[in-house]
Amino acid sequence: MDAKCNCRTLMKRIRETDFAIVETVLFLNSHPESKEALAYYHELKKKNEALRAEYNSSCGPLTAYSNECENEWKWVKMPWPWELDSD
Amino acid sequence: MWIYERKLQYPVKIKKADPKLAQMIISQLGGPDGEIGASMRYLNQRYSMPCRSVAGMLTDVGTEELAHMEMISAIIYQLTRNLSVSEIENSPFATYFVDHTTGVYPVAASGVPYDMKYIASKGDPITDLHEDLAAEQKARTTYDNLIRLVDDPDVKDPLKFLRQREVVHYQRFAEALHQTLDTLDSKNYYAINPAFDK
Amino acid sequence: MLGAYEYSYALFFIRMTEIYRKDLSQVKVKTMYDKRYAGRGEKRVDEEILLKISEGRSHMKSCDKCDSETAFDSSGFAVYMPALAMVYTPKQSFCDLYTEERGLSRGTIFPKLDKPFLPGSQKYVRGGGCDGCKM
Repeated sequence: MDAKCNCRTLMKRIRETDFAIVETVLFLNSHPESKEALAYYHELKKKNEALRAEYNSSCGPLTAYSNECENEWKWVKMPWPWELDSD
Repeated sequence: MWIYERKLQYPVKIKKADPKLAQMIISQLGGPDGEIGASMRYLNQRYSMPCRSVAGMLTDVGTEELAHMEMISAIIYQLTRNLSVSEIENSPFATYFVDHTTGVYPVAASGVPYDMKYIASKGDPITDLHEDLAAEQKARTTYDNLIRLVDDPDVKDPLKFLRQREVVHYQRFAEALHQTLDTLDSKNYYAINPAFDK
Repeated sequence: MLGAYEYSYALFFIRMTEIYRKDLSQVKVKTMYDKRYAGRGEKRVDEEILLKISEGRSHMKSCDKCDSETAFDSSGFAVYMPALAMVYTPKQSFCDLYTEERGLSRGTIFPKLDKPFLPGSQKYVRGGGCDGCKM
């Protein structure tokens, strides 16, 4: 799988796990006592953190605070998410 | 505070520019029931919620609405790319173009710019949560109308996603209302404003 | 300590079902409440509360037009449920989720909240509802 394709796939998985986390967070806000929701949240968080770490190191920074490249400021060198060639 | 992520909550990949659609969809950016209004409403109401879980709900939903605002702006941006002058002048987008070219400026489909008067923040949790329930329904109806008017599946797809979010938010605000009511006496929920009276 | 939802359902179902009395300390609510809450690990209504509910009812003047019940919670506070002049929504449970991939594409991870827009689908229209209704 070439690098660009890998980044597209990683981004798809990050979007999916991020979204499931958002849904679970909103549910937990109105059901703070729900053990099942909290367990699912932690399961998603582990998956999501691993995906993000991989994206940050092989594709580029997801936030201005996660730039790992020491040779260049990648934050402004990649397509912004509204551009058609973004991941 | 807020952190920005370089990703859209749901992807927007529109292959075919269409200024006529842009002129309608922009209502979900700067219109009375659009995403800017939603985020401003929830992020401002949260300060007067005595229940921390309700303040949390408003914070998290309000933050999600900022992400939706970004999606609508991305839709407008992609629908107005590489337009020729004749494509512009023969569409309802021409009047917007005069003042904004193909830049993004929050207005309603009528051309009226976004107005903070579209939101309320009454400082009473029961009142504010009812406003939020109504806001989610108004947004859903607006998405219903846009979905009727759009044929392009690249455009319809993110609109359907955004519409479904309104349904879920409605349920969450109803639950938040009940979390608030559980702290009050069911004999008379309106005896006091729990954000102000002691 | 049960919240507003549980009390409103308890009262609703008490009205809808028979209350069987074994002795004053053994009051059971039949069928509907049990079916709704059984197996979900949620507490059944305390029997003490049910006793107070039935006592509370016996202190009321009964009339056909009465539209709310008085019940008492375990601290003895009156609970006017369901109260007039307020809206209600059932509380959602955390079960039967979509996969992460399907959840994102549907706009929710909860199949029970997945309510798409289907104009022209007569399947979701019930006619003959309200006076003067055009449907």
